[in-house]
Amino acid sequence: MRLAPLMIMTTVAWLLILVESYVFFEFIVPFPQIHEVGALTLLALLKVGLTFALGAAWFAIMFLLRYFYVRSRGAARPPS
Amino acid sequence: MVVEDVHKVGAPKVPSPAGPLLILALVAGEVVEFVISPSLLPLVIAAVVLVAGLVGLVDDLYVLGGKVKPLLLILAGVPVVVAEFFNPTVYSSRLYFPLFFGPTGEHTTIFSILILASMPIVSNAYNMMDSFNGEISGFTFLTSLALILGIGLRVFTSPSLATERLAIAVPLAAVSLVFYIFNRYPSKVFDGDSGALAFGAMYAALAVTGGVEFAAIVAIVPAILNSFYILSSVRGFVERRKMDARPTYLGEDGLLHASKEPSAPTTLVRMLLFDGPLSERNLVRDILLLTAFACLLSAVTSFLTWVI
Repeated sequence: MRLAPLMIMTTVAWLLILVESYVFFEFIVPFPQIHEVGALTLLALLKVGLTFALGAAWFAIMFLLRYFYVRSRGAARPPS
Repeated sequence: MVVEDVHKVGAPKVPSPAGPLLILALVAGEVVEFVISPSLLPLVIAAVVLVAGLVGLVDDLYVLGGKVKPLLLILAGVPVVVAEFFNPTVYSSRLYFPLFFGPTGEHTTIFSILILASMPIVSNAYNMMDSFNGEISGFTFLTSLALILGIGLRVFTSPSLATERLAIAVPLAAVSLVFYIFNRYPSKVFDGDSGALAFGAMYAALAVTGGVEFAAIVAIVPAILNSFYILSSVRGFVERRKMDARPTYLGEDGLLHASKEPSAPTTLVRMLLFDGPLSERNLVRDILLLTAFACLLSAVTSFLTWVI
């Protein structure tokens, strides 16, 4: 059943996309607008930082899944 | 023009690109829709197809760089954003989440940026699924069905939405299905970058105008993972013809094998072949099965969003 692991990866990606999008639009975007923050800009930095953190979390989890998949097949390890 | 089908013994020559014909068919479908029900939407979709198709055609003829192509593809999103600016009914600047989470607030600026960014991302994801006989045509047909289901559920559960949002998606499914007949194993014709990029850009534009962004993203998760793994393997935007090593090779047994080269990109196909060699026909069958699974998840997303 060579498709099963890839189906699991697809399902994980699906759940992450839904959860992370919800966190982004419901919690990060409504932070105060950058131009409304008087003294720069801890909030602005926090907003950008959290957005990157969400993206990085998605990438990291997908990388990890690929790493385990490739390792379990004993194949040549990808360069990244 | 002809190109070699490198995944077959003897590398037979196959006509390519059929992209201009596909673009013509997609645009003709939208024009028919415009004639039946005159509104801005079909013209916007036709403009997106034309811009992305033109970029692809230039790439077919002259080979654009790995960084230039994504930048040019941003232009494909311009018709959508400009049309919304002058006529704010083209799309809704809010995302609809499944179950009890409901819609977000209006995020006009972020939405415009996301639309422009989505064109190169989705188009290139489609283009990277264009390696084997019947892969891109089958992939486009399956994902367009998921898209149509999502838009259909939204249209029929939201009486204020006109059914034309559903009708403008039909040409994508129809054209990709007809193309599949000629593109499946053994291919009689290839689409070229012009066809793949036009398919991808149209899909992205339909997802936005149909308001089913989540369902659309979920349906193409295999393509997103594929392009993400390729980009991370080769560390950036590299034109595929300039990659150091191919992800697969054709063995003397006539089967496709995963490349043993450490520098070869880790594509979805290479991952599938880690379990052993496959014929091209079976390999594409597996890819389309995975796509069908993603489309099933997309359908679940649509039902949870619009029905339950």
